Amino acid sequence: MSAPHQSLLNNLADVYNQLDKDPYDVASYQNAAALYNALGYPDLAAGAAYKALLLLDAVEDESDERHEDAVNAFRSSFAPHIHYKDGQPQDDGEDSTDLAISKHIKHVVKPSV
Amino acid sequence: MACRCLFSAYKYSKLGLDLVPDSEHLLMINQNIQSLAQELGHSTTPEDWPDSTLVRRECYPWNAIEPDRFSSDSLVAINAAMAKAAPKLIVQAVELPVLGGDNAKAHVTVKQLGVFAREELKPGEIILSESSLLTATNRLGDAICDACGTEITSGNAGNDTSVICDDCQAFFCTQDCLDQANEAYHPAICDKDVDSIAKEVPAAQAADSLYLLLLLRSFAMAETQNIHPLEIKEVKYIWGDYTNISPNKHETSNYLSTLPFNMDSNIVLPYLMLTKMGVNIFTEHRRYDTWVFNTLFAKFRGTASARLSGSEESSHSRPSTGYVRLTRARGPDVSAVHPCWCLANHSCDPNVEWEWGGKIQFKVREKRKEWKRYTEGQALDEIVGPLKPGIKKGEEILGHYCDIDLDVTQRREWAAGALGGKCRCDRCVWESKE
Repeated sequence: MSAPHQSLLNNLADVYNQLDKDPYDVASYQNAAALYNALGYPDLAAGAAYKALLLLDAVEDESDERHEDAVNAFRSSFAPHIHYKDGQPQDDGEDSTDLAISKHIKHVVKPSV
Repeated sequence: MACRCLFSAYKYSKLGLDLVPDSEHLLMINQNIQSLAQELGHSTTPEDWPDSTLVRRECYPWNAIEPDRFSSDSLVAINAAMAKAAPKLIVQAVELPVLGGDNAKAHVTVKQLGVFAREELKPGEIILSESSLLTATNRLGDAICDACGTEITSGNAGNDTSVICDDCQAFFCTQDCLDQANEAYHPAICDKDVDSIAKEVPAAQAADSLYLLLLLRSFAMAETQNIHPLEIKEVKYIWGDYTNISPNKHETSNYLSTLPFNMDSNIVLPYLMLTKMGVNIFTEHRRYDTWVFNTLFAKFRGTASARLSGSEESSHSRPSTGYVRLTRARGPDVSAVHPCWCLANHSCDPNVEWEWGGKIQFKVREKRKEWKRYTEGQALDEIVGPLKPGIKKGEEILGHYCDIDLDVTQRREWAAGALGGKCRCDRCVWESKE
């Protein structure tokens, strides 16, 4: 087994360990998708990207049962600069979140699908 | 796009563009998909573009659950199941010829499992009887047992043993089947309207929908039994016809070694079914992931049998690697995975016969096939056999994956999918004068 291949597999294992800790982390699914692509599994990459997409839907959709989890995970990974006071985002916090979604959704919708 | 599922790629890139209309990255992707479709000679209607493909069919490097089927632990577990279904049979490792393609050399062999007689077996004897709960039917509301796939015939007044689940109206042929269902899988899907996702599909997709329903059944088993879906006893020891290739070679060219894939069947619908079942697909990512679905599909496609319900003429064949064999315009209605039955290897001069049923059986053939050779002008040239029926102690049990009344060319064509290449059984080799 070649060394770069093995290191991709190791990275993939790391991503899954990360997902054990934070299963709603969009970035981890994006990382998984990128690694699957690099390993030559575009089908599995599409699967990981689809999960990222579901999470972004959950961020946007307040009625989604995973909305809160998804929003929390999303904020900690994409918009850590948003500060909260009494549970309310300060300044234009919501807008920033939307902006961050816009910025990142383009990475999520993978060309591999 | 790399999977050549162009319509899905287009659909999802559009979805992204609806959200972020000015994303240059997405616009580029969308453009690339359209150019590719044009390059490949497709129309300008995205709905008409190809949307399914074949992907690598592998025991993934990170799959830690797949057992070594030849280890003594595995053989003990496999034989424990076999002892229940067929006390006179035993499973052992066997060397089989490699079949891939025309240039396959006859003397190159591969280790596989095979089923052997522990004692002498008489013609007409039923030697294996196996029922399975890993079944699927795509006929909504038909009188087919939810658990074992047996057709429930009405009209036998007073003889009707069928029962209905109080909570969801699912239909079972006996109380025993309902009890088994409640232990193995039913609570996870009871009254959740999950089946409807894949049922009642057009005939052309019937086979695909059956595989999807088998996937659903395995999810329900995993949830009810609280185990990883690849650990379910019905699937754990099943061989997925994997073809692992060199890690540096990403393109596979061998059609027979690849797995059918499309965005809906392999990704969207499995996650939708799980969500409907109340499974959290994010926290449960170790159990439910696309690689797990692909592995399960690989196992089902290699071994599931299918039947047209209500039809005298069963399809009499294990499916090819790609699709369940259809004997009629209509697709198959019922499909099942029988983990013991599927271990028997193939011969075009089989010593057992089988009939599809919720319970599948092997019966020792009372008559063996004659071998026939034809001259160029299709005139009958030479006949040998038939061999004496009956199976000696230590002899291998050989079933059949294709219609053995066909001639050698047709048989080889039929069985190629399930066998992974051209049949090299004694009868085929002799009849084709090789």
